[in-house]
Amino acid sequence: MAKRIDSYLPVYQQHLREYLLKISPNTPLNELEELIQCFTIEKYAKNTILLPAGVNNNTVYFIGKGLVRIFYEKDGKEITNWLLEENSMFAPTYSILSGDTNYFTYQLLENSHLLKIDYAVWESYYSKYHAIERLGRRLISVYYGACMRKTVDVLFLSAEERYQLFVKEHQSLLNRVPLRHIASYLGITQETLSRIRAKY
Amino acid sequence: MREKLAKKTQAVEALQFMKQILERIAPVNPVDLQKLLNKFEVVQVPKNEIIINEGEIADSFYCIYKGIVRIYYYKDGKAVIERFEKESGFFGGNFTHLTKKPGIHVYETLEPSILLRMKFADLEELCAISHDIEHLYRITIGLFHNNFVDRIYTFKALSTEKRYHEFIRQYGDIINRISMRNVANYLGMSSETLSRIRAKYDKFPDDHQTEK
Repeated sequence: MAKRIDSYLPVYQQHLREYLLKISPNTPLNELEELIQCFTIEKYAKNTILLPAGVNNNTVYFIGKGLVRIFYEKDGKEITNWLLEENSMFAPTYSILSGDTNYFTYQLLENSHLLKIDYAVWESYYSKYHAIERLGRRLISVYYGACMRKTVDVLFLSAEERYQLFVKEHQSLLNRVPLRHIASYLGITQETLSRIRAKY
Repeated sequence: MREKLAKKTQAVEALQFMKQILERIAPVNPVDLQKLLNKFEVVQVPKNEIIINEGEIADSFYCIYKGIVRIYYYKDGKAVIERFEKESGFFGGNFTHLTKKPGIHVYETLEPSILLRMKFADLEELCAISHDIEHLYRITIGLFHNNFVDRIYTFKALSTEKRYHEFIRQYGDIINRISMRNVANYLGMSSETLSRIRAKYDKFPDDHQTEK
């Protein structure tokens, strides 16, 4: 019989603890714990659209188990923007911060277990604890930095270099993500991707 | 003597300007706000001076009191303008202070400018002692992140004409201070195309608002 979803909670909480401490190592453990205890756990089936474009659910997520694809539509085509696996945090940041429309669709590529927290609750800890506000600041810096790095890579690296970088940093995703999504993520056609992969 | 006094008055005005910008972003208690303002340095920069160069790791960030800064990178040997910053705009090396990787951008003044500069290290120290300043910093990064997303995902998706209208909406007040060559570069179009679009729309400036 399958394990109850709640039985996974402690393990994912530990991963969340480690993830947040890596972002901001000097966070007092008791304050961090208070925040972590506010997360709830939920399981989702493969291919579930967690959040469609145009909708903002003001929720922050942490991936306990599974795979998330974030994409947007341009000229009728889906363009994969991010691929996130276990121990990643994500949220519809743009629309949470601006109140504007969310451009992106969040889809689960596998059966997944996610920890989630309402952004209002998460944000309340920023005012409550200085260290958590610092954690939040560092988190958005890391996130924003990663966005910027990706645009720089797309600008300056060749398709082959981008593929090599992807293999180096996300080896495990190669077996888990359909090639058409990887091609889209790398900003190349599936044909180009096949050609590059044939070399390796 | 008079020049020194003029410079001092200018510095006072620049800091007052900075104070107003910060107050608009998030509230900071008066004591901490003053500590923050004390860490800003007012610098005069001549036209066409490079403030942060490609390959550098920025140790400071800047706010423009007077002037315009052009931010560009080189792709295949050609300069590509990513954006302009005008009065009250910020720039700081695009996170090179965090990634510790050499930056790709060049930050250059288009006219004689007065900038407010602070070291990232000083900001970090102030954040450690002040929750209000930490909060201000967090909110500010959120704003920059959203501007970035707007630039990458919306601006790039617009047609050439719509991009021009968006440019006028954002930078209309400084268009006389930027060369058309720079504007065309930023909009990703040839000077000829830009001239054609300007001829079409600049007779009726209000059309920039109705076209959306």
